[in-house]
Amino acid sequence: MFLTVDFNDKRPLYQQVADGIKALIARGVLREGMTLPSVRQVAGDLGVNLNTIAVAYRELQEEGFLAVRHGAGAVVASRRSREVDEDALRKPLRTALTQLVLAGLNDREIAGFVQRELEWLLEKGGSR
Amino acid sequence: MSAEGNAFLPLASASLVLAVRLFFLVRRLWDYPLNHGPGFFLGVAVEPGFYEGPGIRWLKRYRTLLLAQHAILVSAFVVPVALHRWNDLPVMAPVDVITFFSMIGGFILWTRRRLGASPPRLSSVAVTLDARRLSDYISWPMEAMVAAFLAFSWALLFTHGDLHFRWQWPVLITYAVMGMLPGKIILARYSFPLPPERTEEHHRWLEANRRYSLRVMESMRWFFVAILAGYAVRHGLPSGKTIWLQWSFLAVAAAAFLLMTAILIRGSGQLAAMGRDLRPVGSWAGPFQPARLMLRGGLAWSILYCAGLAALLVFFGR
Repeated sequence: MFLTVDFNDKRPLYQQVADGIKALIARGVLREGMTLPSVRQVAGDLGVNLNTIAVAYRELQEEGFLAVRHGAGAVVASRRSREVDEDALRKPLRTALTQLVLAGLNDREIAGFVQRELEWLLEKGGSR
Repeated sequence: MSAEGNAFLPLASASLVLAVRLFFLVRRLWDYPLNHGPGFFLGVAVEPGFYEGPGIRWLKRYRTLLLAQHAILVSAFVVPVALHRWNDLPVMAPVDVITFFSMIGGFILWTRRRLGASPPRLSSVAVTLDARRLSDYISWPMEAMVAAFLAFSWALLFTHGDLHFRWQWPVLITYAVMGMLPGKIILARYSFPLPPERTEEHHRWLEANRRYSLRVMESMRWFFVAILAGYAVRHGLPSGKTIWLQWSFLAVAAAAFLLMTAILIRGSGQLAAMGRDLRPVGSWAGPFQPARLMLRGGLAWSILYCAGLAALLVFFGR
């Protein structure tokens, strides 16, 4: 399983790493109990500072997706975010939908777009 | 042992090593720059039609250097044989390592400077999320066994060594064996960001490459360890009663050598087939780091290792 990062992406690198890992968890590619590589390994592979990856792992840990155990490294803890506040979940969705409306897509196109993304997200993991 | 007996073992093993190296030259090294297809020359991306134009000259330079390196190796065999200095035949091994690393490695670095000073920078790269641990690649119990055999050989030579043995071989072999450990660690830890296209294949190829190099080094180390143990037994224990032990270590050394040869020939063929239409390492730069051909620390280790071997050879040759 691989994590892809893009230099042209506007998100900061740590965010791309955290989002990439979340997407793999959501798709079921990364399952509960699986061990992630060490911060040193990911930073070395990418050629970036250790802190960048450490921040991404810390964010995932705070959101409850990772458990960091001494000696065992970072382990996937759960497929569900601790954050269940509906408002907080709605905000990024609203931002993304706004982008699509501003890009000139109509309702049906947006629905199709969202459907395809959801299918892509779930294709590896099968059922939720 | 008689003079003929003394000559037989070093001569037979040196001939075998030379035969394998010449076979490897013809089968694998001759066309090595073309391993990744006509789009690359030794890890550098080249323009279409390169091999009809300047590529002919580059290939000629590479092959001339390769022949020169093998000529030195052949001399390291022929000169002691012509002078009947059988005990000097093992010098072939360090001479081969030093000249191969410096001449071919130097040529690869020079090629990159002249042909591929600025490889394309990929804006998007991938990394594996499979955890790698040192113990996945290096067996510490095996390392302990290597250390135990070396310690046994040294203890035997120190306490029971006869008047005929020469310290230069135990020192050289111990250096060759122990000096490879940092190289193995560097190899086990090396990493590159992967291209976003055909990521899985690039990853599999790089992993196979890593395991192949580690296996070659491991079998080479066991070959040396068995040679040293056999040498220590020969010079440290009464020969009448322990001849079977000498032959046992010799058999282990022969097995390790055959294993290394099999890995070298089969493994390099498989790697060439796997990587035929993949990008070679060093032909791309990640968004956050320059293109790397060598492993981080690999260049420093090779220079230090070869310099140490050369220094020992010069010191003992005086």
